[in-house]
Amino acid sequence: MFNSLKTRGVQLSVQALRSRSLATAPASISSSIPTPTPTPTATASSTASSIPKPDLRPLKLNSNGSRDLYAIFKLHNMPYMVTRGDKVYLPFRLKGARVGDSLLLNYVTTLGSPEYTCKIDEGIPTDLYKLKASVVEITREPYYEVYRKKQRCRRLKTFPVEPYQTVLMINELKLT
Amino acid sequence: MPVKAIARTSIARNGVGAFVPSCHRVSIQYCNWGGSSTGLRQALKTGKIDKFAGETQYIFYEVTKKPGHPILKFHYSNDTVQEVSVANLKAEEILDKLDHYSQRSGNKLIKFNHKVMSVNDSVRGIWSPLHLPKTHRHKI
Repeated sequence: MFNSLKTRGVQLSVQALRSRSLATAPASISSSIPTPTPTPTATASSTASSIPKPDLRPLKLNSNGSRDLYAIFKLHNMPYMVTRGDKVYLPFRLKGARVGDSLLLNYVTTLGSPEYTCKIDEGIPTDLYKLKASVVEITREPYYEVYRKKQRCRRLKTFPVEPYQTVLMINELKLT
Repeated sequence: MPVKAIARTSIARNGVGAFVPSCHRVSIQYCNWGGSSTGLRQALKTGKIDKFAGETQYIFYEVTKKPGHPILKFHYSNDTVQEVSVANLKAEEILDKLDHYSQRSGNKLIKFNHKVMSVNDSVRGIWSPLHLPKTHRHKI
């Protein structure tokens, strides 16, 4: 159950609101934090480790103690530009995530301050930054109906649409 | 002259730092006689709701017996109460409803056509052609 979150770029880190009966098996959770071997996130970090580590000192000096810092992370290959305290509206139900879960986003392509940018398309090495998000809400979009008309049929087909929505709150964004 | 700090009130954002789940109370109302409550009665009897309540210990559950169709009432921390009719639903469907509505925040459902909602100032600021030295400005 805990390892069901296998999206590239996301790693379930803390199970804050899980019940005690579920959280009594945190061995799998805690082990999954430092060594995410089976997840594709590991491949992301391994590709990131093969590239030379960038020098982020100018970024660090320019970012006003990580306050003036933005990041572009990728989820399902879709970029999201965030700062700390932003809400990310995902137009789907994130698999395996529940409200209250904390996610470690580990596929960041860009880190930027007012004057400097570090951009690596394969992913910046994960030990250079920390980007955390918490799952705040799993809801749906307002209900609406889609009508389709077929040829030689006098009736309209009606399809109810109520897509899922996952809202993430960016908890922490800092350079380490 | 001493340096003066600029006073700024912090914005309350649930999830930055601590996260408090919005749904804090669920009232389950069922009827002991009516046929539309069969699924809910089964869910209560077989302990499925007990199990779910054990997993979500931050929610207070109350079960009331009242004639009429079965209703789930979700109380959210923004003082909204959402009533969901679970008449004629099976036990699994009722549990899906319970799981789904307890993960909402109680806010109005919105269609958000952007990816990120931010209250912070832009890190880079807004580009302006006039804030450049005159020699570097774009000339038409």
